[in-house]
Amino acid sequence: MKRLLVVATVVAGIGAPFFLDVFQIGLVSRGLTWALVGLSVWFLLRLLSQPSFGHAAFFGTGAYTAGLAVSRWELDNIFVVLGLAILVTCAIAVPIAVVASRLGSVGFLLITLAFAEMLRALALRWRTVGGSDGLVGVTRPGAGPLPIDLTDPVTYFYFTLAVTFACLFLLWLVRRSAFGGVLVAIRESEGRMRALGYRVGAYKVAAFLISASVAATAGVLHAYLIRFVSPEDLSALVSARGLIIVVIAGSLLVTTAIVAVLLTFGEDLLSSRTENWLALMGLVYIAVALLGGMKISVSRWLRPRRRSPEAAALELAGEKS
Amino acid sequence: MSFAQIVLQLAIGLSFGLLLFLLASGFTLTFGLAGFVNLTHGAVFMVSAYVATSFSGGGSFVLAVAAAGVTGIVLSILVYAVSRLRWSKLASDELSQVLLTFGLLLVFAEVARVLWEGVPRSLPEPGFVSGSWDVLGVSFPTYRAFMGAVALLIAGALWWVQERTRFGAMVRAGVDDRDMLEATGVSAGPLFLAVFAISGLLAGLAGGIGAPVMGASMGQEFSVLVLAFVVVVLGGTGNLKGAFIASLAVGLADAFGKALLPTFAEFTMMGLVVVVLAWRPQGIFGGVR
Amino acid sequence: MNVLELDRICMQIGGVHITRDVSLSLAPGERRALIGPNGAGKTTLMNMAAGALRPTSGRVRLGGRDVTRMPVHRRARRGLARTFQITNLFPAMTVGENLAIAVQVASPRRFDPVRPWSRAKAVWAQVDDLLERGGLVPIRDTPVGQLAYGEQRRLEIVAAVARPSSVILLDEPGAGLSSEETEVLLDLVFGLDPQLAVMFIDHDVELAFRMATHVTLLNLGEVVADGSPDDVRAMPIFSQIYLGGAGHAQG
Repeated sequence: MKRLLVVATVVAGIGAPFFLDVFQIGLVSRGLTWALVGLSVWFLLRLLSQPSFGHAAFFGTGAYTAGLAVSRWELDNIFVVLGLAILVTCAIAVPIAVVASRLGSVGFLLITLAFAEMLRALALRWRTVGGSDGLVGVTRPGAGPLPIDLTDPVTYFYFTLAVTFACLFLLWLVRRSAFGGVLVAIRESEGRMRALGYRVGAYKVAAFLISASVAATAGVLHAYLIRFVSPEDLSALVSARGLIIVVIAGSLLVTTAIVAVLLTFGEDLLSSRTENWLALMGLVYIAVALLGGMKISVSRWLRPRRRSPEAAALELAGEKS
Repeated sequence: MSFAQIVLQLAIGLSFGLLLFLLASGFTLTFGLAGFVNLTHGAVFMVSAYVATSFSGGGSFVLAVAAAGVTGIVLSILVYAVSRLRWSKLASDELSQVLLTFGLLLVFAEVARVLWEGVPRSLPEPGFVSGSWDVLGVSFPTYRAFMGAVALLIAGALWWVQERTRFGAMVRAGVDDRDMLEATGVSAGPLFLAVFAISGLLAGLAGGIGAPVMGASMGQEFSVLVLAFVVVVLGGTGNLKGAFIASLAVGLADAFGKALLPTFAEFTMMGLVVVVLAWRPQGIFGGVR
Repeated sequence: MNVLELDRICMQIGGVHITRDVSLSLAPGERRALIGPNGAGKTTLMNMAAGALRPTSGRVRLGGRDVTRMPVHRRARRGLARTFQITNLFPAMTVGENLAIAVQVASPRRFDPVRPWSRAKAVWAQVDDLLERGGLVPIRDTPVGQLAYGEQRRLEIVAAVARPSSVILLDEPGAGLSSEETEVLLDLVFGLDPQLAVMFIDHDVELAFRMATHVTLLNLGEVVADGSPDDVRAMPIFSQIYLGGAGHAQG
């Protein structure tokens, strides 16, 4: 069943431009960037049981790096920009990670939110990065060695889709890897991991950096999609979106992407109907919180009937939160 | 910085810190006692501040502050009521608490935007404390001193309640060990309600008293919330003494940060957090669970 | 040279002396039982030896080297293994995976974020070996959360000895188990390596005397008796504590 869903998603993704108009394609592209934010939050939440409310910091840093790259530093290769964005974001993430991983899960939540908000306040005030106006007129760079034109919306959509699937795949690999196993073990019992000889702090920071890199990638893609970067890219709403996507989507990677795209369409629909759509979104958050993530969690419906004990344990590991 | 300017920033920082304590203490108590992470705290502050500014048309200052306090109580009780709908589920699930209170935050903020058109507003200082003093060659607004004094008084009252009343003893016991509290026969429900109401009152009063200085504006629901977080993380959960000291520290960091590095004021704050937590991860006085 | 040395260890919290001037040493191959009434400070002592707690004063030496300030994971790397009083396994993972985590601590494979864990042949080969030696083969793929208590305790012991250590600290390995089961577990540990130093806490005094080569009797945070099982059994303080008088009687 899960495999079917993955195939269906891939097919739907590839076929999307054939039955959606340009505007809607843009929405799906945006949804994919949100999916990446969701994935980055998912990684920390499911594997390490650390809910972060500060991923906007990494998304926004990636976005600002992307914006500055074309308008100030004249870089014309999106891959170079991606690499740079990840580097810059990791640099910012390290002190946050070191501080935050010393705290329990609530402290972690609070501090990550606090740091993201502080970055937003900084961006609002710092004229060099545009201040409250942000960076306008961000143009899309070239695609490096690839002979494609990113300025075309459909091409950009496919590029975004490819990057999203690449990240999905990478995170899936990590989850199955020995490193992923270590992270789950840390989540299960930090004390025992230390007693066994593991440097728990270092692993947490590494996981944090991986997560931040995915969020930064999302920021870059988003910046070039809407050709605009603003302090709002660092706002708590971005982080909250990532969280709610993970809570609704559950432990499956692929449902995260689906839920994210649906959420994008939902937000767009609401914002076009009423000025006060944020309040309605608020009600959605309240509803999800009250109804319980686990009940809504989409992946629950998709649990396969027969599976090996190992897969069962991993699934259990993924859903344990 | 000249000596006079240092003194000025010191005074500004301390008075702001005292105001911040009112806000942070409510947050740390709800979290310490009920284990509830309440992100709406900043939004409650903001809406209360806006309510206070509605009385600027020749109304009494005291009335404005009182109205702000009442607003705070009402909103906080509303938050408590909504969370009671699924309390058993929310009680141990911080993530759901965060999503719930974030959603409520969005709703409150939107209400403020609609009612006051998203425009920043202010409240004129009451006549009897307007103007400024000349302290060592620098003008220091009298109102800030007044604000600090009132906040200190309220803080004192709060301390007295916590240390000297039976109610306070129950709160302290509950912060220490929630399960034991139920075991001793104290009913948690009314106690939590009281703490929520009090924290709302404090946030509301802070919004009202702070209005002549900070005004009411969109965005405060986050900016103020962040400061409260920093205080709680630095000062330890449910710990009023820690919150007090941390509030002063944050207030000072905020004042000096803004004075010395106007654009990068946030770095001072982030730096403070990093330094303190690197030195003592459990906060100055206690632990965030 | 002694494998583990506790040198005048004191632990004081807010005026209360939990541990007072405790000195003991473990030679290679020694099996030392740490006994004493409830509240004597046995687990606290073990935590200080392991590094989970830092003593107020005194020194801990591992293989001659001062490790008093050394964090837990580095002591583990230097050959100190421990188990916990309350089972501390990874409930969402299988028995095999629990062992794999324990086994791969020194293997660079543990950093690998790309290759599937299940393909780390060297690691899993060692796991299979451990499963055999520990009699855990039938439950290899069972999630730990579903194991019976006795099986969990056994797994914990096997995981603790997954990698060669010079000393192993067992905090109440027999908690919740019958004497026979505890004896089997202890035999498992003792049979591994004649040079392995073992210190274990147990409330079953007869069992402790039977299995140990040395006994340390702790009461109210102090060492009140130390020596071979026969010596300690003969001491008046022992009768006092266990058969009436000071402290709580234990059976």
